[in-house]
Amino acid sequence: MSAALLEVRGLTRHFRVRDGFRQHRTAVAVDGIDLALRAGEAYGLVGESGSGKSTVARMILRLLSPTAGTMVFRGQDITALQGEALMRLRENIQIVFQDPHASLNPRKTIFFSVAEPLVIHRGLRGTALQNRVEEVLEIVGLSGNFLYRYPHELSGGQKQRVCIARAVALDPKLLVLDEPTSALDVSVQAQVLEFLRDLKARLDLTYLFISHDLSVVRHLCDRVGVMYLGRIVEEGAVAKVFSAPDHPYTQSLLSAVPLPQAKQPAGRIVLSGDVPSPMAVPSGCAFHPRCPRKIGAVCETERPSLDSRPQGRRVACHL
Amino acid sequence: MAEPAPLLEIRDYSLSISTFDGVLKVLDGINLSIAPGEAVGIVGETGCGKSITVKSVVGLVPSPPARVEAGSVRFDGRDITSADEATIRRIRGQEIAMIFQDPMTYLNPLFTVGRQLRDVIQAKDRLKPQSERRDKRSIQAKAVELLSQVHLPNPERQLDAYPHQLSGGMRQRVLIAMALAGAPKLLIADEPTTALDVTIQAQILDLVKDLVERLGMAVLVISHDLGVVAAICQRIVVMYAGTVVEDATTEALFENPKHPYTRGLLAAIPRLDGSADSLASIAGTIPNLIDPPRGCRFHPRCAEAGETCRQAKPPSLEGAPGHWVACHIYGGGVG
Repeated sequence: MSAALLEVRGLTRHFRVRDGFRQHRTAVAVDGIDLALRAGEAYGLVGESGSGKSTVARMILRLLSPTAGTMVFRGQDITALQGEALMRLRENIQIVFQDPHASLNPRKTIFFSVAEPLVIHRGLRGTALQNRVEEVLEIVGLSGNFLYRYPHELSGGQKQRVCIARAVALDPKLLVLDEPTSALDVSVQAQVLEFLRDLKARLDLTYLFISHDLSVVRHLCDRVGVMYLGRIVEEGAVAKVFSAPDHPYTQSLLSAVPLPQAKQPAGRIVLSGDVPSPMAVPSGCAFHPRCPRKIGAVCETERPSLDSRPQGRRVACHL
Repeated sequence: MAEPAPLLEIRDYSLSISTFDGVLKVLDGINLSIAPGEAVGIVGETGCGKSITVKSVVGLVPSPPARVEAGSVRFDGRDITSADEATIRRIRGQEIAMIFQDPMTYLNPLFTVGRQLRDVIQAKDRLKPQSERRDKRSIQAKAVELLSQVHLPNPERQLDAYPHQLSGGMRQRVLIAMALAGAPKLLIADEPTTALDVTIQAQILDLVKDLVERLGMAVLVISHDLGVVAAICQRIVVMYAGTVVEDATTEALFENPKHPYTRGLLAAIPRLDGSADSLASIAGTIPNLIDPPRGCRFHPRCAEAGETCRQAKPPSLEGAPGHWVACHIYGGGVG
């Protein structure tokens, strides 16, 4: 096992939500998660909307400050970095967002978008800048023809490549991918996924891959963490978790995916009800009101801890 | 074919839309039929014409700029290709009901669910003679009945809720309830679960399937997700750039896909069981429909395309019974 590139302990984020005149309630978006990313792996964080996966990403990027918890990146505590040190951290952790169209300035050329981080962090200009931008675009498979085009002239897949080029321009160690293929058609998604796989090996990257699409995570990631209402309920190697999920939530999540094949497997678990509001997280195990395998009062009163199980798996369940 | 008379039959339907840049040849000779009680899916990527096909059929595409170039649409024995607005209005929302992707967009945020549902019921009543119209109390009862039909918990209470108080899955149920108000013969579901989470998607898919069986209505599901379509439909129609490339039973399509595009699409899907080692992507991009490729619209991206493919539009041939393929190479049972 290689050393942890990023280690997160007890990471928590609360949001104050307005609720009527001068009243506030607290939404618990992320509730004390522990996570360790190994150098060179692709870690998938999956969960439904509102499970807190994007909030985790934004905290790791220091775009949001955590309510509690610590984050250690390459041996350095980054939880409260400021100024110069934060600038240097940002060179090493970069993000690609879901909608490539919304992430590119429609009034700036591709050259400008890709060059901006290089100007800010490296102070590059002139020929050096030009060369580096061309080099980076080359890495993502776009020719120099694209330099002076505008985002609207590019297809969705090409735009996403530009976003990836911009993110890898500074040679980051960790790339956070927040639903990078959700806005793309399947055939384009296939292209981008294959490309991301190849890129990771070539540039020696570590991925934190956030997605609600389980098949995509299965395809790209080495390990997976399943989130429900701000907590990680199960974690382990992708192949193991997907073939034999331990947590009832993971089981129902996997079983809920309609498969592109002639016969749907029998015995599908269809959960009743909706995901509870993060403003009123159920007591004990957050999943107990919907759990098909609830064992009794202990699920309602006691919060299960994320315990280690054989084969490097962790499961938070009383079962 | 020894099938019952189709409920909806679209024949050689071509549609064009005038835009500032030129005339988009959006649909090119679409053939599609749905039998009563049948569940059919249309799949294809963005811009292949799945939504515009059905919208145009129910008269939701304004003309101009759209123009039906050729073909006919028959619904329940009537030709509705050039039916006037009044005729279409009696069919749309009544005999053909629709639900869409984003349920919030289709509900008015300022009115309660009950008010909107009652409005729909009343609007349907207005098409009936005075004597058959419902009074206030039975409209309320009908609203409750519709909500319980879509398994919304506490239907009486939900009637007083505003759309923002409901979750995405519940809103979609409300829209389905509205669609059922006219006891439709055909339900068109345009990406019904795309905005929903997987566990909620599973609930809605189950509901649609259950309604189809219980009420005997036909359903046409439009989706970009082959999994969603496979879960509900008996038959799948694959569209590419405004043409139907393959039309087969769900089983045949997944077990024995013929058209190169269908096979490309299937090879591009990451699998949940990890059985796909690497994903194949289809080279190139979807063509510009102002000046679509001559011959087969897929030929510039097809690895197997030959001279005929560049010249002539492939006819849709029935290779195996009920398995239609529009391809010069794989149509008609070859390959």
